[in-house]
Amino acid sequence: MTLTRILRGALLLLCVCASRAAAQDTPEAVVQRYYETFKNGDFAGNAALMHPDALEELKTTLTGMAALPGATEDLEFREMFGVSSIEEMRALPAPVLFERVLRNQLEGEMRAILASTQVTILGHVMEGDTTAHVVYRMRMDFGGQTLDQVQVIPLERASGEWRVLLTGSLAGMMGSMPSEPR
Amino acid sequence: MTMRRMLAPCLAAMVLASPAVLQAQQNPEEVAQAYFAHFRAGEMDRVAALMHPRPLESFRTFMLQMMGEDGLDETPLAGRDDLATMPADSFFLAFTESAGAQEEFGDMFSTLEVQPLGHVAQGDSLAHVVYSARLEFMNQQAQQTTVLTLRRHRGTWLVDPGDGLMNMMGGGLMMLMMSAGMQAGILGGLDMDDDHDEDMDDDYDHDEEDDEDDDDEDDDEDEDDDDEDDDEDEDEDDDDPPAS
Repeated sequence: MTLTRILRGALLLLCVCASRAAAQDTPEAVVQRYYETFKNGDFAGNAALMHPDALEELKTTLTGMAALPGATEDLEFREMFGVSSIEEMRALPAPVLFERVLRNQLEGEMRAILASTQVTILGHVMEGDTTAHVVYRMRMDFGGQTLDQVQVIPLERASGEWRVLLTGSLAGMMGSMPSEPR
Repeated sequence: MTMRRMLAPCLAAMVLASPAVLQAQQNPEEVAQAYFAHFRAGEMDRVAALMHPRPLESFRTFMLQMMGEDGLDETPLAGRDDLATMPADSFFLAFTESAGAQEEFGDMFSTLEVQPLGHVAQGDSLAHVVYSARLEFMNQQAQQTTVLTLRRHRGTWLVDPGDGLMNMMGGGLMMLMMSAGMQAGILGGLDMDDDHDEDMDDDYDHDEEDDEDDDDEDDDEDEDDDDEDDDEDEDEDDDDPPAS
């Protein structure tokens, strides 16, 4: 057996094992990785763990807000999204748009706070067969204050994988904002 | 059959049916459901009865430190010298009443709907109940799936809504209340633009009416002046000697 064939087999085995591991990822494991991406500043990785529908919903809301008169002339708009027109914004894939928002909003002091945040996953509660609510304890230090709270985050399956949804409060607020029709 | 043997089953039934035993048999979801039902009904004494001593004690300590002696003078709790020694649940009730929490949040909490989904145990003494909550604020519906922590105390599950004024006064529903408030604020801001325009139009119409009224009044005044002038002229004529 040649070296090439051995390597090819090993790579194939690695891919199969990785995909099986990913398919078997528990909701807890996904949330653990999700918060690690905040700590590490891996915003592309963070977007990859979001549910595609949640990203599309967020994009719809953001483009709706950008469509308000004068919004695209704001320097902050260009800095946040890296585009200069709403047409360019509409052309961005939703995960890329989300990654740019995170990168713009979570730099500097916020990055430092997130890097030191401790997350302890406690378990999950199922709602029906498709939604898992993962319960975790978050300890965050900022400005001399300590936030120590038990929180919950929802996930749904997308193509067999658990992916993170928008939290209820964010989804509710987004529902109240002007958005572009899909 | 002796009297003791006859009474034993009755006594057993009384013990088993006592509230303490019933509460001990309640699971975390049932306690959470009862807690929110009392919140919805404004029964703060029963809310306090389902709270764990830890957050109640923490709340009293925090409020006494924050307000200090001078601060207390400016609250309805002023003049009470037993605040530091009264039971923590009584302090919570006294503060809730003095703060007018029921008047402030009563309408919002009266719309509260809660559906427990299950709980996650943390050891033997902690349970985190995940529940779906919905309430209405300023005609806006807010919904959220959130979590409420319960702690074991003497064999029963009691609620720990967390530290801080908002957690204690809001029953652990702070995030949902904030979401509802922000939704109402967002939509209120959008509606206000339309309403503001309508109000502007109404004001403009009202101003026009006022102008018309002013014109009418001016006309009336002019007429009155004319009448007065006429009267004066007549008087003058009367005063003038008759032509010879």
